[in-house]
Amino acid sequence: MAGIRSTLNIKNRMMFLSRYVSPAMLAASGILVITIIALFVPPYIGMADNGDYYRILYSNGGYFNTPDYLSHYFGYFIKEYGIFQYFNENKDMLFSSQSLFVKFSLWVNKLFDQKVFDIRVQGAIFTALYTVAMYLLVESITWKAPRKYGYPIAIIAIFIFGDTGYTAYFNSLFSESVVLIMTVFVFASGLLLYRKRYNDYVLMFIFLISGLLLTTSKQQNAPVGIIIAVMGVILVFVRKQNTYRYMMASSLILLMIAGVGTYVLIPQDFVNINKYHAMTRGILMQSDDPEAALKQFDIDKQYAVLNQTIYFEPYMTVDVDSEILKDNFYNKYGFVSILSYYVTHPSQAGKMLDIAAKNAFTIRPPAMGNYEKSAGKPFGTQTKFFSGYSLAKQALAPKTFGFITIWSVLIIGLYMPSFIEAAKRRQMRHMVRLPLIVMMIFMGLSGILVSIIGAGDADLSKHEFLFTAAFDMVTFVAVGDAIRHRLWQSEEDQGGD
Amino acid sequence: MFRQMIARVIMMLLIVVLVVPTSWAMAAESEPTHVLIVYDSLAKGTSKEGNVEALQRLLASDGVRVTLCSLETYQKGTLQQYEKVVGVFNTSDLKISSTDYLSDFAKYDGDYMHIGAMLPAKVQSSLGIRLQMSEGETIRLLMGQFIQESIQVQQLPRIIATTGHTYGNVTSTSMNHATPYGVRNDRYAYIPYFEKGNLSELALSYVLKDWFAIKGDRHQYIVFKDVYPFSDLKLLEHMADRLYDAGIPFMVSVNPVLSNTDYPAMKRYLETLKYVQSRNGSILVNAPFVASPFSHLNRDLGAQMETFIDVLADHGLAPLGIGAEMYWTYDQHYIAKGMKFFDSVVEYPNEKIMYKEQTNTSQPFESSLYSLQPDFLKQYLYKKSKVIDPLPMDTALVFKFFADEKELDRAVQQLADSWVTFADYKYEQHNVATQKNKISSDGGFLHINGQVVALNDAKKSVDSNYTYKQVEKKSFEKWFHVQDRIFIVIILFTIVAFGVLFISGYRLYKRKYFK
Repeated sequence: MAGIRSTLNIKNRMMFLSRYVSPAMLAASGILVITIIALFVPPYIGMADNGDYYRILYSNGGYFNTPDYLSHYFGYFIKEYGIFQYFNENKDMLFSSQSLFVKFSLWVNKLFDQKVFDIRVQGAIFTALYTVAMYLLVESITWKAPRKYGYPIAIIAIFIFGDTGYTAYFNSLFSESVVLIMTVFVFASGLLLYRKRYNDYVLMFIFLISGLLLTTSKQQNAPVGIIIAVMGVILVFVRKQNTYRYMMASSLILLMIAGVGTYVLIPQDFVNINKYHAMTRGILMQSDDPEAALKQFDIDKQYAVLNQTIYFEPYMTVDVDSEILKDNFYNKYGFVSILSYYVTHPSQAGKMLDIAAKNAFTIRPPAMGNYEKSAGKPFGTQTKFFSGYSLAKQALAPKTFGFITIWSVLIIGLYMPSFIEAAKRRQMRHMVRLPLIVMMIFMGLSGILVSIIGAGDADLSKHEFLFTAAFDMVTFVAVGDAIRHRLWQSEEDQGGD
Repeated sequence: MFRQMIARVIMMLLIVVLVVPTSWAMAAESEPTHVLIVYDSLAKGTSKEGNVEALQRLLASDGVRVTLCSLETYQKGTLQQYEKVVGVFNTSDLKISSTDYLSDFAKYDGDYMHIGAMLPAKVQSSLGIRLQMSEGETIRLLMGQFIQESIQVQQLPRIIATTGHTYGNVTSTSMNHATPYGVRNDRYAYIPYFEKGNLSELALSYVLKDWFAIKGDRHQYIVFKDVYPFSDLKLLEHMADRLYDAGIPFMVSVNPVLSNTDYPAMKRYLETLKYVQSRNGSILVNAPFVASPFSHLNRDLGAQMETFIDVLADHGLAPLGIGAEMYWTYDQHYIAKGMKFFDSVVEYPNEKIMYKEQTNTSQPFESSLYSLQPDFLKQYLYKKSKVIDPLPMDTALVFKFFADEKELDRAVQQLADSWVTFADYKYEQHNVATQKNKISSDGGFLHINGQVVALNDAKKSVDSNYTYKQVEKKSFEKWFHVQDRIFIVIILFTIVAFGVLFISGYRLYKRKYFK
């Protein structure tokens, strides 16, 4: 009797929960609460600087006000920075959509404090945006799904996306936070268009803006704009009205232009470190004869002594920004020549891809600490708080490029039947899902390829963030669709227009 | 018995007379003078910015240990710990607020040099100085053989009368007679004007030499820096030939290679350096570029430097010192790890400061060269002068290694035409010691582990064949190969069998349902 009563009680509670809290709401609020605990309750979690903060902070009107700032590099998170009170000569050092967020955070910060910038202000803005983005992503899968499927999907979302491996970026000046949030927005808005949830024009607007912000967040993301533009062509045909089609086509053209623009507008000196690594930690490292490899680029064979050296070494033979390297080394190669080298040396390319795959499942770069110095933790300590998913992923994922290939083929294979079915029925909206999934996979793969070509194996775990994020989102959506039995079938609950 | 006692006493006395003073003298020699620099401000954003750093480098070239202290951080009793103190006062509109400093200074009885504004009364009266302030003027500075016209100064105290020994002179449009640049007596010295990068930098060195009572000849050297394994090695050899033919000894500050030292490219670098050494070129190890002092990569700078020095020595190259930016001598980590092998240094001005363990006290060296830009002396040389007298400190004219033949030709021609006598670094005593090698120079000879280095100019050609990657030893390779073939056969057979079954099944299906 008591057993029946308690079962009824749970059922009643579930009924009550499902009436007021949708799975999307549950996922979003769960992620919100966990992120607030991680980022805003002592000991605060954030990311230590690896030397990248300087440009983004100084170009936007902030400066390092911690006296022994350099000694915190890699080891400790710093939450407070100074705000320039006079003319800032460092303006325009960096072209990145991240600047918009830093500037906005500074503006909000100045409402409370004119002199000290607390990075948690930015953390709060990102947390709010991320919560909305996650709500939309989960809603795109669980909308109209039976609650018995919806809630498990929501819990999986919390487990994966509430992980501090992702959210610790919000309390940092790395552009990964922008990349993460905007990727979720792009994917979620595309899927919501497919589900015909919400107004198509509003979703198109979210798709465009988040796509633009994602593409322009860093040079490495330049191909992302092009991928979105190409794979998104199908979105133009979702509705028949000319207004919609013109607007969607213009959005895609804008994304394409943004991709090209991002590549062109990034300052040259910002590229030197990556260019250095592309050769020393890529071409030379995997070559059996570095001198012969250098000869192919018309570079003096003496540069072979730089084989495998990295910029992050404390002591080096040469300054990465020195004239001798600019004149006789960097000038001799670029993205295209490295790409063509790998195409003509497939075995080297294969080795690099496998090296890349080793780091492709790391969400939190192992080099940077998460705690403030005042927390009393040893140098470089990383948090374990709500990190189950990132730790498990790093430990368990098969880290070979073969696995990535099989995963991509499997995912595409799973979504192919519904796509063919929709194509046969000429239901354009139903056809959108597969191109969206392929878009995400390509975006992730571009992250890997651009990392190898652009910077060899240096700092891969950070450069491959886009892949790891795309992998999680696609896998999550596939698992969600599998749970609600919608992998092979299209949705039946939506019209074509 | 009595005779024996007398003999013992005489022996003891002899030992005392002969041994003890020598050891005292050695102790006195081995302990460098310790100087305190007290400054009121680093004058950032003004024309005086960098003058404290220039003073630090000048003092280093005098072989003294320097401790730097701002008035803000001054602690009571500090002055009394030093025999010599230099006060740099860059602001004239602020009174000294440190009462500890003022009370200590009133009691201080050591030597004191004052630079800039706010000349203390006791120094002024001891030097019998009468001052006259001039504002917003253009002055002309003359010191020894050097002259600089048209120096803009905001505020300058002019010494219109003094009882001390004077140095150089200053003239201006407003005052028709020349006044001394600096003044000194046995204890005190006063320099009203000192900035980095103009003639006053050199002028101060004349006063410092006498203030420290430094005797002996001073030398000038030529140093080429920014020499990498991937520099134009042919050009480097050509430069060595040109300077050798012109009879100009020189030094090359080579950038260290911290990995891949067994590569053919490294061997070519070493062969070229050996050739340079044979052409009267002395080798210095340049400090490595500090990219990120707080890198997460745990690297031992000491081991890296030691390896490079040993690679040089094993190849018959004798590095005689280190070339480093000045901040290295104010950093405990770089001193203890990177510079400990050397007793000689060429100090370059700071370009990019990357402290790891900053300290306010410098490490002095037995030999420390003050580096100057190549055209510095020429710029200020008084027209009538041809032969340049030795400067008050050991100096190095530092050239960046040339980009092409044209630059090389121009520079070598200028050096050959100049009336400066350049010294050969290996004629002085320099020592470098690692656990494995003891390297030294003296009287023009280079020694590695006690053996004189033969300066052989025959360059060996380096074979480019080198195994960059060791082939991994694979176990059961043959077995796996056979296994692969068996699997391929099985898979092919399965595919064929499946195909046959599929086709026959399809035909059966068609026969049954499509009749």
